[in-house]
Amino acid sequence: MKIRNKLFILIFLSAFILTLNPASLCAHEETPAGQHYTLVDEHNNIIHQTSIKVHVGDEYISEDNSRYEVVEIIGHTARCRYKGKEKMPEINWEKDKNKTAERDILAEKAVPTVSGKNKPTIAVYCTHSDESYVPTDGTESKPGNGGIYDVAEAFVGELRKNGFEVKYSKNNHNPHDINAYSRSRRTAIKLLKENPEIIFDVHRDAVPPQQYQANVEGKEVTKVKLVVGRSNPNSKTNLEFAKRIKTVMDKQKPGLSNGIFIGKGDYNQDLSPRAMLIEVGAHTNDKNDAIEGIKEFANIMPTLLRVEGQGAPPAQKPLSQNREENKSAYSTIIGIIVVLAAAVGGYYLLNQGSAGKRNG
Amino acid sequence: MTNFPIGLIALVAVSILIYFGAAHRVLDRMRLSDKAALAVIAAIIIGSFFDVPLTSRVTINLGGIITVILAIYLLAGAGTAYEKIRAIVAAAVTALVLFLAARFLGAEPEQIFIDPIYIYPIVAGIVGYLAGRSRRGAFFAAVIGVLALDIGQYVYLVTNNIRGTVAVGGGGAFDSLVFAGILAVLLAEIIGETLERIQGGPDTDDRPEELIQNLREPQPAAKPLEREGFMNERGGENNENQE
Repeated sequence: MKIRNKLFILIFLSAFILTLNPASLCAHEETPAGQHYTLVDEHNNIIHQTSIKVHVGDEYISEDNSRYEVVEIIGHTARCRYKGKEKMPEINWEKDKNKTAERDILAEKAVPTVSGKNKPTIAVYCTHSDESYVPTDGTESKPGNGGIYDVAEAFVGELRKNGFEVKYSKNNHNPHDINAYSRSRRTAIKLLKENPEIIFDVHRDAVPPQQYQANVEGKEVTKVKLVVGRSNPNSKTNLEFAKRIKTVMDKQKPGLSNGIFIGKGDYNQDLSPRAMLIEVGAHTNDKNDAIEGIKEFANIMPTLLRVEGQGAPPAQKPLSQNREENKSAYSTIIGIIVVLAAAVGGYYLLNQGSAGKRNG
Repeated sequence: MTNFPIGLIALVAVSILIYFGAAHRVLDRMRLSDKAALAVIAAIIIGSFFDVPLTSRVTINLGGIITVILAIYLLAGAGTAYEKIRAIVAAAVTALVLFLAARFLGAEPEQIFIDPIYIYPIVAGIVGYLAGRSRRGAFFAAVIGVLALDIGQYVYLVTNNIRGTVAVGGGGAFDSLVFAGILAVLLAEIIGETLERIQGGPDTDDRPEELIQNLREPQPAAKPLEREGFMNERGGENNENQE
């Protein structure tokens, strides 16, 4: 290959690396205070704030299920277009007759039951091992041992109380750089070998405290936000699942949800259609409130997975459930096959080139 | 996952099949026979289930380590010493670029226009291609480049005395180590084919006549009259070359 060509590609590669993120040519820690992104609607009303870098095309489903799409970014303000009310999964609710306290449960008849050895499994890990809560931990970042682990442990404890088998990894994925997700991918894969129903990656946000501070059932808590990465082949299915989680949250713990953010990234959600990233409070919130928030979140899991308490009669495995999840899974499969066919076709055409014609 | 609705199970199955199918095609094209490529894939999948603690801070996954061994084996089988050196240089450059990326780029996937998991194969694919248009070079550069990041994390943990272990190739067949290697080869191939297409075929300057003959698509036997015309065309091309 000629030197000229090599030089051209080298320049291209350098330019490519530089364009990855020209704005951040310095080591990244956490988003500095005040540098979070603010999403505003057509009338400049603040819809949402997030430490996640926002791009045109990102979407947000707010607490009241309004869907917005980012259409323009000026500095740290993201102008959004209202896309209407999001159609949330239809869930049939009925009164739970087995409980003394009146509570709504999903009305689907078939219920996988918590029975001894056959407990449904939930997996939990933390990609950003240093994330901490300033008011309680004294700092926003504690390498390898962040306050986020206390929140994750509270989640694990509450899930176990609810009768779940929990696979929890306390692996450290620091340093907090772009390779953190690649390292936590290994943890996620290891946890996925245990066949969990859901795998949660627990994070905290970096925005002003009021974005997350809430009062649910008389308790001071931080809200929980669900994040779906749209650079991942499973994103449609992940989103359907996130919507299902939010629907149950809104029904059982009104005020706990901080919406669903659909942003750029993979977040290892390509590994499972039920891989979910959650943001529990921000670095500016009290960790104890975050702990209370995630406990409330854990308490919706039995309903979400249609699990009844210990001693309930065993139920049959549902024949068909989660219509929306299924539908999006099939459309994802078709999408994957179409992309694959296009790639193979393109490559075939590329290979139709006539070898040796140039100088031969 | 056992209670997944059927659609989700189908989605997971299709994704896995396509991934392993692509992996097989890639290995198949790198001096491995069809059966050997299949055996390697099987070994990586089975190996994925075994993590071997090496020290208190390092665990290696058999699936991941088989990939590293394969990369070294492919390099050892490289044609010339020059090709081997080029592949090693490519791996070093890839590692350096990945270190710089980790140092200078934002920490969150959304801060860069493509997810970090795709940066490894993109860098390794391009560097590997530059280092001699070699699939093996790209594969070696990607695998060793990602391995170097693990060594980097080990140094970080030890020097800062922070708890934690380095799980080399811990994701087995789905680890970025394996994924980067496979995608890098595909990318090197696409870059190579595209460039050749743009320039109207492979560069044949200073290449042995036998290689050029083999590069040509098989031509139907030409009739004597057409043959004459073909010779005339060639004459024209020769004139161009002299310019």
